Amino acid sequence: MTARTHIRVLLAAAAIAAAPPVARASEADAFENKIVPISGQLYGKGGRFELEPLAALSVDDAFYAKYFGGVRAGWHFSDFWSVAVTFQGGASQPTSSTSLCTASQGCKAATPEQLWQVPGDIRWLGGAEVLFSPVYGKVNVLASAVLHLDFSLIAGVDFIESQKVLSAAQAAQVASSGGTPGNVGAPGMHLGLGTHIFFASFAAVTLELKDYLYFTDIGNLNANKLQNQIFVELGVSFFIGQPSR
Amino acid sequence: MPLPRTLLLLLLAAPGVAGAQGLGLDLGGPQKKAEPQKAVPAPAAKPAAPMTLDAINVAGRSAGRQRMDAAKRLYDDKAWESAAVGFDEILRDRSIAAEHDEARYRLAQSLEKLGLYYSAFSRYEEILAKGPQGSKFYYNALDGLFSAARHMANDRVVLAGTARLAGEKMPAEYQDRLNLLLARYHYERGRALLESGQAAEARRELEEARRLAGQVRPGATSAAIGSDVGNPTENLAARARFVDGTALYALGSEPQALDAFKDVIRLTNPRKTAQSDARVRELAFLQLARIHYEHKQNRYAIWYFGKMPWGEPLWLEGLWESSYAHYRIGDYEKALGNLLTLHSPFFVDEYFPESYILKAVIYFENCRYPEARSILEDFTRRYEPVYQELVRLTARKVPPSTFYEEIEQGQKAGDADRGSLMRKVMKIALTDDAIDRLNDSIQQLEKEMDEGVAGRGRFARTALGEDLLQRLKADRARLVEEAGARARQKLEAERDDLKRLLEQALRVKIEVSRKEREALEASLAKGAPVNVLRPYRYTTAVSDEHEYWPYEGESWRDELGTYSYTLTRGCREGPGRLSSP
Amino acid sequence: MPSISMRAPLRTLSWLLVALPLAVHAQEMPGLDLSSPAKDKGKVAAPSPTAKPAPAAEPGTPLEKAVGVPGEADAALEDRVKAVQRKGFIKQNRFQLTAFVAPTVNDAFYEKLGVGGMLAYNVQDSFAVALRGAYWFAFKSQYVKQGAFAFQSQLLSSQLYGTAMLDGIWSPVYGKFAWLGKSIVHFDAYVIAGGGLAWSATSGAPRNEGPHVAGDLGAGIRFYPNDWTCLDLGLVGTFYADQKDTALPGNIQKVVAITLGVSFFVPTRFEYYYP
Repeated sequence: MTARTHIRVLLAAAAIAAAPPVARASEADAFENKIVPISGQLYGKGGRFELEPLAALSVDDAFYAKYFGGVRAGWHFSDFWSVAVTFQGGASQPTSSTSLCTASQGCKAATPEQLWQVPGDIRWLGGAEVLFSPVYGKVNVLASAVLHLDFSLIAGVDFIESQKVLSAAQAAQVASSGGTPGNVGAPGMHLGLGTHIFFASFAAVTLELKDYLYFTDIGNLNANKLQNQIFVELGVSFFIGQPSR
Repeated sequence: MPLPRTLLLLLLAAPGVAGAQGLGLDLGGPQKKAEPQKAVPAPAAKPAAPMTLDAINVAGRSAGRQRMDAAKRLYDDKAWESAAVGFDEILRDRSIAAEHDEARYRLAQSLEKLGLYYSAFSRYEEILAKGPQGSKFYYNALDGLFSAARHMANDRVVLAGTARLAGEKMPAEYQDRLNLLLARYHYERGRALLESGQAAEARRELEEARRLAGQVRPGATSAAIGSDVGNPTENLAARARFVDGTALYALGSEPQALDAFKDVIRLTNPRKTAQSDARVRELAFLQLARIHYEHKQNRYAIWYFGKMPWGEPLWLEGLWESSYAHYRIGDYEKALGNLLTLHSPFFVDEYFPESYILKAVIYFENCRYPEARSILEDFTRRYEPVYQELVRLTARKVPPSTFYEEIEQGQKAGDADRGSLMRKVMKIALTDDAIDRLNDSIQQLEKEMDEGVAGRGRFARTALGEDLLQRLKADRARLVEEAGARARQKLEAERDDLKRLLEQALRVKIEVSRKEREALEASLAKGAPVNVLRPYRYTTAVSDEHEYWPYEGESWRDELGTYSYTLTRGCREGPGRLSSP
Repeated sequence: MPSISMRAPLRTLSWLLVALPLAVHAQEMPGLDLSSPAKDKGKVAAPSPTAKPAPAAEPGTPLEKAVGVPGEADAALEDRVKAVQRKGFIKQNRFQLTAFVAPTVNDAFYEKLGVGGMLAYNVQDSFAVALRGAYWFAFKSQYVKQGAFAFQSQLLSSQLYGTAMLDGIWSPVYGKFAWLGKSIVHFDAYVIAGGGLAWSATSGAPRNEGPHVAGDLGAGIRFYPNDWTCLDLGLVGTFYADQKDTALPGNIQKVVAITLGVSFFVPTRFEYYYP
């Protein structure tokens, strides 16, 4: 396994997770260990149901870029812990890396037969996840706007349906018959980071970065390979119910 | 002139004073063996060793000596319960009186090892009462007295004990601590005499306090008598100078008192000394602030209030008092900001009823009559029930112990009862420093009784155990009586003060109504509002060293004390800006 | 404005109230229990959720027209209240030495790992100039082989070896967060931009094109654990022109990497200029 992006995500998550216990404004927080950090928190999630329509964009793609839409529904046990289920699907498009350039003929897009031999064409994915939100904070932008936000660590399990990855011979056969490769599903998991940026007591902009991991057969290599798929998900979360305090 | 809290603040210096460092020096004569300094263990959880002594070989030694040796072996083997019982049995046997002197000291030591500090302290006192000529273990007992005292919450017991040691000669490093304790003792006596109107006697006591404080050597710290893990090293010289300052203030020599407190600040500068002694440093800043405030030097007072370190026990009190100083100079922004901290949910249990009056007056002075009215109504809604409860409590003809029992119940009220009247009222009682310390002592005594003695199984059923329980119960009863009596006085005083505040609130409300009526009449006559509520300026600009956060109803603990108001409307021009970032 | 005749009783009342602290609280020392994180302070009864300050309601009755209408139940929300707190960390006039690693996030075929350092001087607390340099190591991913198989072609890439940049760092954003409801962590967010040189495979033999002009742009956040260190997390893109193959036109190469760094500040302590 190469040093893939999911390790980068883990590193980033570890950096954020490790930072707070040591990173603190010690002189500015004279009441540490004496009273709670915040009282009268404006935006609470505990005891509330969250519904989020979202749009997702894949990043760091080798062969296919994905443009998905989806929905997520979750329940917040407390301000720190929540669970959610999510489903998203949409369209994919070959990346510029699949352009084939020759000195004599210039650049042209790869053929469908060629594209059937590479992974990454995800159709839809759905799963369940657990979120841990150890952080609630605020940001002052240019002394004019204060944003309240939280940060979450995300882990979940998924089922991912993607286009079957054919070998060259299989692709030629399918192409000649005028068919399509078909889809194949695989279980997977994901890790990620997320943030809610609150703009109302009942709503927030949600931004998440998730790395989906799943195995798929690569026809040309006759091997089952681990796939990394990073999605940036942007949505608007609606919180239903009153926060528990 | 009444002697306000400046004098009482001295009491707050007590915990550290009472907390003497561990003592490892052998102060005994040449015939005495050096007593190894051992760490005081937590009370043993398991049942004690058997209560009988080993078989004794009587050949060639007196019976008393043999019993003493056997008990000492148990002590050396860390079987402190058995050792204590053994020493106690020696004391009860009149036929071996020659061993009683050592047995008395060893018993005290054993009790200290068992964590029975009050019991040990009283045993050490018994030895010290005999004087240096009356016991070979006098200086060892002195060592033990300081050692046990640092575990005791109530310094008054320590003060009373050390008062008897006045005039005794001892090594310099102990002498400093003793002089400091004695200085505080004479100061307290002087203050009490002043309160009772005996001015001449009080003056003598205060002068004696000054004399003793002056005998503490420059640079003296508690580190000289051994380190004490867990207790910060005290700057004895600074504390002595603080006692001197408070005595000077009580004697009416305020300029000299100021100099003394400034010396304390210099002596505890953390950049120049390792023994910065945050406690006495905070007290000195508070004293300096109060004296300047008393003499209407408000900006100096504000400066000193601002130097009080954040998060320390007196910080909130200083914040409250500085609100008045800010009000006096017309800095309503900062005054209201401080009050916002006081009224934040973090400090909902704290008792500052007058802060609502001040807030209402500020709004009143800015012609914000509806807001002033609502603040006063909020004050009345919060504190009228408290006043009624105080009236009911103080009208009862009950013994003082009943008051203390109610304090205990109030403390045990859980989260569900957090807003309960009882809890509020008992919190009022515990704002009195003396009651708070008595409460700590009583809890400590109860723990010593329940866990230290009664919880030790067979040890509790020995003659020594029963004697200890009896003495501790008597001590507890005495402290409960004292705490209850003080609580009654405190509640009566607070009842009267709260009544005055409620009356003031009513008077301010009447003024508000009058102003509203006048404003209405004037606007009806003119057909337009007369007192135009002009908008104020508000700036978000801060220096590079600061962060600006608008208050939106969410309180962050690191913002406490940094709030600044801008009244968006009012009949005054915005107050002149201080040099704030 | 109150007339003079009304001022006297007002002032008397005011001074009476002013005199209260000494009189009322004589002989006592209220104590604030901050000694331990008692459980009963854990769940503080929060006020009911409040919205941002609402404009004062329109006056209705003649009295309200005369004296105004109170807006929020909490007067503090009707007025403007600000907290002006000291920053927990001052960077001005301090040197900053940073060591970082930077895995790329935009190349699925040839992943790169940058290892480098930065020397910065904080001219202001919110602005610094910096010299940044990094060595880059490339790792071939599984997709190179898959692509070669599928497309029967060779994947060209610009092999980046090193970068040296002169940057400006601007921190207009500061913030703080509560960690697990216990500690408060301050951070700031920065934008970094600048220019410099990038060395790739074409810089040396056989093409000997020398270093390429490069620019970088990015953003990040920094956390401050004590007076002399900080933890840095950023996303920086480095852009330089390169021609991967003489048969192909040159284009702008983009290397976008997450940076994870640790910084040390000299001097190791700071002083507040303002009281």
